Amino acid sequence: MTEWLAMGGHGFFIWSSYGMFALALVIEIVVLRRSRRSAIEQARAMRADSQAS
Amino acid sequence: MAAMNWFRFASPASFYPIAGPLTAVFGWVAVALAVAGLYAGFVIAPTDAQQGESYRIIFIHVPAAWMAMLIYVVIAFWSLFSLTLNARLPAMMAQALAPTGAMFAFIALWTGAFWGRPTWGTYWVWDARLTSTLVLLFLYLGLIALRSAIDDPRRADRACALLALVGVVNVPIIYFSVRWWNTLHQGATISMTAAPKMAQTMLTAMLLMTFAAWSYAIATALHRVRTLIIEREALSDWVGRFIAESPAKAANDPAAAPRHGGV
Amino acid sequence: MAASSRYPASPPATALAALRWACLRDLRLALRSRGEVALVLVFFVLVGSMFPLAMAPEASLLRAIAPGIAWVSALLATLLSLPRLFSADHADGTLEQMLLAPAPLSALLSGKVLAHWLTTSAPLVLLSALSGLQFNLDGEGIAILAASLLLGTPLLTWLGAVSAALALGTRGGSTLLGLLVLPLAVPVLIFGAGSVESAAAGLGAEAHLSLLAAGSILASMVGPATLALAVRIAHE
Repeated sequence: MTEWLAMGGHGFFIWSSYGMFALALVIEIVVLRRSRRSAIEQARAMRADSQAS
Repeated sequence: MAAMNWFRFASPASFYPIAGPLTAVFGWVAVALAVAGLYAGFVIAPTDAQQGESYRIIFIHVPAAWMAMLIYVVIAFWSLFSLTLNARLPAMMAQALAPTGAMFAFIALWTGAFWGRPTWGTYWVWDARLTSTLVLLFLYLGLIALRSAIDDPRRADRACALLALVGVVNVPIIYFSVRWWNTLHQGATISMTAAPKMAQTMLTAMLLMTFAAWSYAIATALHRVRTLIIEREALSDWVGRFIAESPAKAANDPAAAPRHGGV
Repeated sequence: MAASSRYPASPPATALAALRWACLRDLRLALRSRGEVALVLVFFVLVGSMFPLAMAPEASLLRAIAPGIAWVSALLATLLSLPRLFSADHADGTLEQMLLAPAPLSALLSGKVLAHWLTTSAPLVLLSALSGLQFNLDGEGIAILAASLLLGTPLLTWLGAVSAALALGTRGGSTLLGLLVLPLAVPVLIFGAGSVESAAAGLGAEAHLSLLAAGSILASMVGPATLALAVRIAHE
């Protein structure tokens, strides 16, 4: 298993690449979901305001 | 005749409900393709004679580079639609694609650097494709920066659309000029296009990952468009029905009741 | 805007006359703010002078990097001058009047762009000789450098004008403008600086200069309509 991880000595480069890729995907998806949630909350607040006024 | 049916989805109100399930579909397709691609790339594909294991980075690097290019062209395509038809949804698609395109450009550069180091000894190589991808990243950042600098969403739509069109015309020119500059100065010994002679399995893995990236890009774009629609159309009736907290509340939600002057 | 009794206060309706009107107007305004114009040229020489200070001023090294530095300095100086193209007219409403005038908007804007090129880029062409001397370029090198700037700056100006119009009235300011213009300017930079290097290597600069010329001609054909659209978008 450790042999496979070492990737013939190139482990650092391979896992840095895949790691950054995974990180970028995770960040993107998290930001996506957060902005959707905040958009919904803001929209609800706007609608509540416009009904109250 | 089929074209007439598609225009039914051209309004945000009718697009929103189908975009949700579509996001999930494309998301899961991306996951499946990526699993298959990574399996083919790591388990099935052999070690390369010259580059050892490090060549396996191309399974991200090449799809990312292709997607960065492709997404920019798609953004230009939607921008053309939004300018000529003065429509909102194409503009939102263009806006939704930009961050993912920038991400792929960045990943292409990062993985290119980490592939270059074990293979050619340096982290950065001024070869034509990497340099063009760097310029492409700046073009994406310009689109995103212009979008956030303009407050009015419709004006931002049209400004970014024009910028994207000017950019897409320039991209081949930029690539041509960089490639020409590169061959003159490098002697073309180092080239990112010198991927290992592709065994069939390597090619398959790369193609699978490319389609996975493409499916992922569609999924994220659709998800972002839905968020954009909520942001822009927050006060209209149909949005109220979709974002209500529960079915009971939706029935009681006064804002969801039919109102004059909605959309 | 103060109207001289010699020409009309509002633009004439035909294309060529409108172009001439806009160009002369901007030239007069530039004459009144000579300091601003000169500042850009001073900046060009200043930036160019920074590089030898930042490295060993060894003659052959300077000669090798001269075209690149001259072109980057020209690019930055052009960038610095771009806000001036529209800011005054945008602030006092003249741009809106141009939108409403019977004169074709593309002609009026072309006049502005021409005036801008005359006051900003044309002097750069002449100043590049100074840069060339600073960097020990020989006579042929200086001539080709000046020619490349002459042929490449129209294209640069059009790219800059469209970007400046899109960024009108936004918060970003000059840094946003830089982010928009510099990537698009990469081919001009490559062929502009490359022309001098190519000539120095004995390969001749015709190909580069022709490409620059073709680019500038194309830009001058497509530019007016694109710029008019950009200005319209900025005023929605």
